[in-house]
Amino acid sequence: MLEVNQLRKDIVGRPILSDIHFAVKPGCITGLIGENGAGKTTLLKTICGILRPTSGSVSFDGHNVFNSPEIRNEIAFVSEEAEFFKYSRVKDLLNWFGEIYINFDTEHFHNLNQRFQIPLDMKIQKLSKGMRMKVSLMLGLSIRPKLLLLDEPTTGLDPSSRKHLFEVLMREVADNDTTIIISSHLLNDLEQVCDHIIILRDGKITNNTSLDALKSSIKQIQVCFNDYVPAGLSEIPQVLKIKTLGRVAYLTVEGELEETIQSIESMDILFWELIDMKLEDIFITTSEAGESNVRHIQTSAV
Amino acid sequence: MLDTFKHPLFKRELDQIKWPTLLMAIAILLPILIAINSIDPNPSQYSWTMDSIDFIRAPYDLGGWLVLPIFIISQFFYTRKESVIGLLASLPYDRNTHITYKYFAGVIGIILAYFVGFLVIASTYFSAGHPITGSFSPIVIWLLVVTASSLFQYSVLFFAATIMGNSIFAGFGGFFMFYTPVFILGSVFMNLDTFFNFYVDFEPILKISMPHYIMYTGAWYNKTSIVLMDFMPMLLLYFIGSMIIFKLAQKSFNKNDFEYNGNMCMFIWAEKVFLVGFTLCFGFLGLDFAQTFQSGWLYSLAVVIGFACFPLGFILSKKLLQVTGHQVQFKRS
Repeated sequence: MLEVNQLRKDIVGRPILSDIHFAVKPGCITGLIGENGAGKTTLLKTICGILRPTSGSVSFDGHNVFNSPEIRNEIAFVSEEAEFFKYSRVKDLLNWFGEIYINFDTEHFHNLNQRFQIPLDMKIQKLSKGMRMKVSLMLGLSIRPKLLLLDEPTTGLDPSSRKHLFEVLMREVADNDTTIIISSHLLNDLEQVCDHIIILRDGKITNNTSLDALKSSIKQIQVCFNDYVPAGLSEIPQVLKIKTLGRVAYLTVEGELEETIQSIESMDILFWELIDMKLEDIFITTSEAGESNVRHIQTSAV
Repeated sequence: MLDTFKHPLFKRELDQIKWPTLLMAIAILLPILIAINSIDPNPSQYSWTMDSIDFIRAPYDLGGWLVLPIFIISQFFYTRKESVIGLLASLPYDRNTHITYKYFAGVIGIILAYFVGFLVIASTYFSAGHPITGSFSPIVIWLLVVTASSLFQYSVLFFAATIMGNSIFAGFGGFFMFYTPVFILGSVFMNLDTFFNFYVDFEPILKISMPHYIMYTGAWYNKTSIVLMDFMPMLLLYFIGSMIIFKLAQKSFNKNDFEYNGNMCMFIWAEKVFLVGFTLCFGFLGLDFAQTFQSGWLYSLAVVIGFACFPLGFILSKKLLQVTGHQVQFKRS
C-alpha cells in the first residue's frame, strides 16, 4: 500500500506541494489530474524517491521510499520525457535493466514489443518521441513493479498504442495486483481505466475520491423553461455553473440534488433531465469554480 | 572486487568515460613521444634522471588542465540532465552507490591513461640501442607522482561537480573553486605589500594549499633529488587529500536536490560563495593589472580602475546568477 503523509515539497523556498496526504490500495488505478504547473510531476517524482520531500514522508508497503534501494526494485517510474542515454541501443538498455532489477522479466518485454514493434538494434536518439515512450513503458512494465507511476504515458502515442497500453495496464492490475498512478491530461482515457481520482490544484489536493463518487457528486441538469430562463437560477446554492441555450438551461450541480430539483420544479419549467458528466467536464467545471470562486453563467445564442 | 567490475552502474560509468580516457592517453602520449624523439642521440650526455626527462611535466599539464574537465563533463553530463536524472535516481540504488561508482570509474580511467604513457616510456627505456641510460626507478616514480597528482586534481573537479548543477561549469570552473581562496589570499598579501609596505610570506600557504606546487617549484626544476627522496610523503599527501575530497563529494551529492539540476550551483549557499569569490577575484585581478604600471597618471588611473573592478565583479556575478541561479527555478517549476 502506498501512503503519502503530510508531504510538502518546496523549491527555492516556494511550496510546490503542500499538505499532500493520501493512501492508495494495491490493485487500484489512480488518476492524478490537475492543470499545468499544479505539481503532478513533482508529486510523482517525490513519490518514487527522485526528489527529496521537504517534510512528510512517502512509504510503500511500510518502507520509506526516499533513498531506499530495496523498495525501489518494486517501483517503476515512466517519465513524460522518456529520455535515456541517447547513444545506447534499445537492446543495451534492456540488458542493463535486466542486470539492475531483481524481477526484470525479459520475456514480458519481448511480449510487449510484439505489439509495439520497436527495433532493438536502434539507438535511442534515432527513436521518435512516441517510440521512446513505448520503450520506457515496456521497460517499466517489465520490472514487474508493485507500484507503477506513469507521468503522461500517452505522450506521443498513436490511438491504437494508447488503447493497447490501457489494456496492458488493466491486465497488469488483474494479474499482479499492481498499484498504478497515472498523470494525464487526456481525461477521457483516464476515465476508462481509473477507479480513483486525485485532483491537484496549486500543489494541494482538492479532490481525492473514487471516480464513481466524483461523478455522482457533480451532475448536470438540463432544464427546459416554458418562457425564458429566470435570473433566479444562479441563486440556487448547489449550482456551480449555468449554460443557457434559448429556453434551455444546463446547470452543473454539486452535492445534494434533492434541494436543487425542488427549487427547479418550483419554477415555470416544461421538463428537466439529469445528465451524467464526463470526467473532463467535471474537472473543467471544478477548476473554473475554484479559480473564480463565483458561479459561472454562460449564455449562448440560439 | 570482481563484483564491482560487474556492477551495472560501474559498467555504465566506464562506458561513459571510454572516450575521455582515450583522449587523456593521447594527451599524455603526445608530449612523451615528441620528447623522446628530440633526445640527443649522444649516449654520453644523457642518463635517465629527472633532469633529463623534463617532458614528464607536459602530460601533467595537458591531462590536468585540458582533459580532466572533459572527463568530468562526460561523467556528469547525464547526471545533470533533468530528463535523465529521473531514470537514474529511480533505479534501486542509493545515491552513495551512484557517486562511488562514478568516482572509481574515473579513477580507473585516469590510471589506465597514465599507465599507457608509462608503458611507452618503459618500452623506450628497454628498447635496444636507445641512448637513455641510468636507473629505471625515476620512470616508476614519474608514473606514481603524475597519476597521484592527476587523481588529486580529478577529485577536486569531481567535488566541484557535485556542488554545481551544470557539468560544463563544473568541468571548467571547478579548479577556480579550489584555487580561488589561494588566489585571493595571495592578492591580499601582494596588495598589502604594495600599498602599505606590509610583507607577508605567502610561500608556506601556497605549499599547503597546492601540493603539486611543491613538485613544480620546490623540487621539480631545482632540487631534483628532493622529488626522488620525498615522493612517498607527496604520494601520501595526494592520497589523503583525494580521499578527503571524495568523502566531501559523497556528502555533497547525498545532499543534492535534483530539481536544481541545470543551475550553476546545486546549493543556495554555494551561490553566495560564488558571489563573494567572483567579486574578490575580479577586483584583485584589476588591482594586479594596475600594478603592471610603474608610476605616473597611468598608474593612478589603473589603480582607480582596479578598485572599480570590485563593484563591477559583484554586478557581473549577480547577472550571471540571474541567468543560471536558483531564481531561474521559479520560472521552470
